[in-house]
Amino acid sequence: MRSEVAFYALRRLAVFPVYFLVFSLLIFFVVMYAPGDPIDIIAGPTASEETRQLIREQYGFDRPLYEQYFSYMGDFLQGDFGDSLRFQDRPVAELLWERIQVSAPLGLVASVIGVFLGILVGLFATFKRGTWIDTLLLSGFLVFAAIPSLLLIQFFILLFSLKLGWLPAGWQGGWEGIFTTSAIIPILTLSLVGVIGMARFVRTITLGIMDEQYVRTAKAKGLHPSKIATRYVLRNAWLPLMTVLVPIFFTFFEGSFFVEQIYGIPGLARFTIDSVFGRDYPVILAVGIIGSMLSIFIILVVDILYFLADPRISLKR
Amino acid sequence: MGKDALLKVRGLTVAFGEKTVLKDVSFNLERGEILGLVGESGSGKSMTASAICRLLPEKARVRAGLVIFEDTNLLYISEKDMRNNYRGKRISMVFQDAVGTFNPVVPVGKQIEEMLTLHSSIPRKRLREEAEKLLEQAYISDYSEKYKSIAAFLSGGQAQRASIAMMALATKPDILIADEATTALDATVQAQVLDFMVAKVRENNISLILITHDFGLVSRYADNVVVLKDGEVAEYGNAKDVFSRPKSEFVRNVLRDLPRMDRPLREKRIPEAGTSNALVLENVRVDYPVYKRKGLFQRRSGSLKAVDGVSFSVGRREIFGIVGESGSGKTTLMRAILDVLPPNAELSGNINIPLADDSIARRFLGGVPQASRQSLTPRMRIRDLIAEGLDIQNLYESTSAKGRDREKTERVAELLLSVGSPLERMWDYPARLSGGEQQRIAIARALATNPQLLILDEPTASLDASRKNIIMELLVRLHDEMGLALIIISHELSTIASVCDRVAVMKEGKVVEMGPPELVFGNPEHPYTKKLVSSVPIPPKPVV
Repeated sequence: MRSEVAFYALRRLAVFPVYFLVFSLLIFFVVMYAPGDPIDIIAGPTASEETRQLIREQYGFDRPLYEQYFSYMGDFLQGDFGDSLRFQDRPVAELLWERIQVSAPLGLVASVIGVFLGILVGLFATFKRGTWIDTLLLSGFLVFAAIPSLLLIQFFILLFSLKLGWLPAGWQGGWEGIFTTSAIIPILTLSLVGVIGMARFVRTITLGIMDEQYVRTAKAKGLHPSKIATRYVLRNAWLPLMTVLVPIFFTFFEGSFFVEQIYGIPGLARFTIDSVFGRDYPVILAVGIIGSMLSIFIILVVDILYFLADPRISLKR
Repeated sequence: MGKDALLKVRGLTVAFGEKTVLKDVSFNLERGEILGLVGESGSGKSMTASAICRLLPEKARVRAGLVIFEDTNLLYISEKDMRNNYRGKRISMVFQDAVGTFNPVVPVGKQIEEMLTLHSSIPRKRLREEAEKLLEQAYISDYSEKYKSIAAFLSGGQAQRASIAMMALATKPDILIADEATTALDATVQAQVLDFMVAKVRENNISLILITHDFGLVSRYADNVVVLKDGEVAEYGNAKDVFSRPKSEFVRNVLRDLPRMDRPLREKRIPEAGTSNALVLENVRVDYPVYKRKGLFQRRSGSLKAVDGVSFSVGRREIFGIVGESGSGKTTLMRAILDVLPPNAELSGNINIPLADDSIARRFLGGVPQASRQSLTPRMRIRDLIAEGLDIQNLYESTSAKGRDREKTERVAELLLSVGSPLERMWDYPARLSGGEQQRIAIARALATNPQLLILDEPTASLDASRKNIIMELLVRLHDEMGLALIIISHELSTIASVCDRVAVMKEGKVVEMGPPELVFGNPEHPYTKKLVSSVPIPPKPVV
């Protein structure tokens, strides 16, 4: 069994370089061919053609694209993502690290709360199926998913900050902002958006499991309902749930684009948007490539966990 | 049937909302007795069992009646009392889906241990030892291996024996209710599991309620029998009496209509040599590749031989039967003939349809898959379902859309008539139809393109006993009227024997015996056929 898992993980990891090549090529050329010229930003609108040419040579933008790709990738693999164009030559890695310190804890806390709340709401709805509680829970949380996080956060700011004055209307400080009351509104917004997706999924899965023969057998054994819920229902719901965790986490990430922007959080999402508008190519490239690799890695980890958790999977192959 | 019976059910009435599903059901169960609870689907057998264990579906309510176990009315005690002192401990159940009865991600042994901790005082340290002992008693030879494995790695027979060990042998209840416990198993496995269950029940003086739709099975094992029809007791009494001198018309009719080996539904004909064939198979093989890990890579290590060199021919107006147990290659062979094998299957040998031009060969074959319910797309109306073959192959004469539409309606009406379904069915969706009607629709669909050979996979498997013969009679009529050749695949020997001219017995992808069913089943030569024939419960024959 253990060697099976190791073998499976190895096989999946072996394909990783291929993913890397394909995605880096794709992202590199899309960014390079996208309309807009970074020189405009660096040189400013009034620069002469000579200055522009000089800058072009200095940054290496005059070289053929494939050459640029290989030299970029060479550095990238050594952990050097180049220097930012917008922030007068500060290394991209440094800039990203500062922002990740803000965004990662925020996203993590929000998604953990969202997923946990989703499981709770979903399970509760299952056990109260067909009653008004079921309907109220599901339609109630659907409202949060239907309102874009863009509006939701503005609503919360209006209500909690401007009207009631309980919470600050913007992010306070840098990474340490997560420990202040200013973290409450963004976390609330981000987690609520994801709850309904999780809850509905949990409800569908667990409702299906309630009809399974093994749940009937567990009842016929004389087992207490709470034990049936944990040992039989949750135990089997966990497997399919793992597969949706990845898309759910991405939902939280997407939400953070608006939330960071509106709430003034100096995080990665906001930084990425600013970099796109500022044609800060090294930053866009680094975010794109690292982001896609991270996504693939997460999916891989979930697959391996799934493999470990489901003893049937080796049968299916 | 004395007054001090172990379990007394009196006037039990259960309703599903407004609809009464059990009406005034009464019977007794003595200690050590085997009681058959028999009836067709929807007759209330399982509902009776659920009511006794108080495991009725949420919307069902007991409206009246008593369930008296020893001196306690189980319907009046608290749920907690029921759970702690009766369910599982004194009254236990085993179900049809044996593999599914186990939590799919927890080792089998752990689930047996769960039962032991619930209802016995065996110390923790000895749990494992005890669970393995129970598996051993269930004739699972590699019991310490199977203790650790999940249910998916057990065969159907092993899983059912393990579930009997878990639900009955672990706690030795007073009553065991077996709800269609062997229905899903192959004939030979079914006999073996039933013998095991009955032996263990007798050994431990457990009373058994044997719920089944199989009248043959009940007459073989039960002391007394309750026959249910539409939620009411149609007949109750000593099994021998009920079956040999049925008092009710219902039981008489059922026994009369059971497919029997010794009562053919038509005159058999052995095709003479030289008559033209509808289908010729020569050394047909279907292999599935099997891969094995070697270092980092997977290499093909061999083949799974699903069909292993099958040769036979089916005459132009012949009815040909194929019998065999699950995994014997019957369905794979059908898929090979119909050219609908999965993409990784490797087919070799010759499949000839002498009468058809190769390009339109498919039109000369009609297939009726197993489980017609799943084969009918739920979102299509019956008319469109039946005419799909016509639509795909554009077998209409008319060129205008309107004309084609009229033609389609006419053809579908014709087909519905010939399979004996009412015309207004045309506009229904399949979910509204009963199992038997769905089977008719599936047959009509296969007939739409005017095939010369119809292949049917288990056409009667999901039907109640009394419906089986109706479908078989329909097939015989279609055969006579349309001059069809039929290949009927089934695991029910009596169904095959009652209509087929010739029969092939398949085992592990090979045809082990072939000939007229009277000969093959009446005087089997191959040891496997012998085993198969002897494991079929023979339906009782009333003395009229």
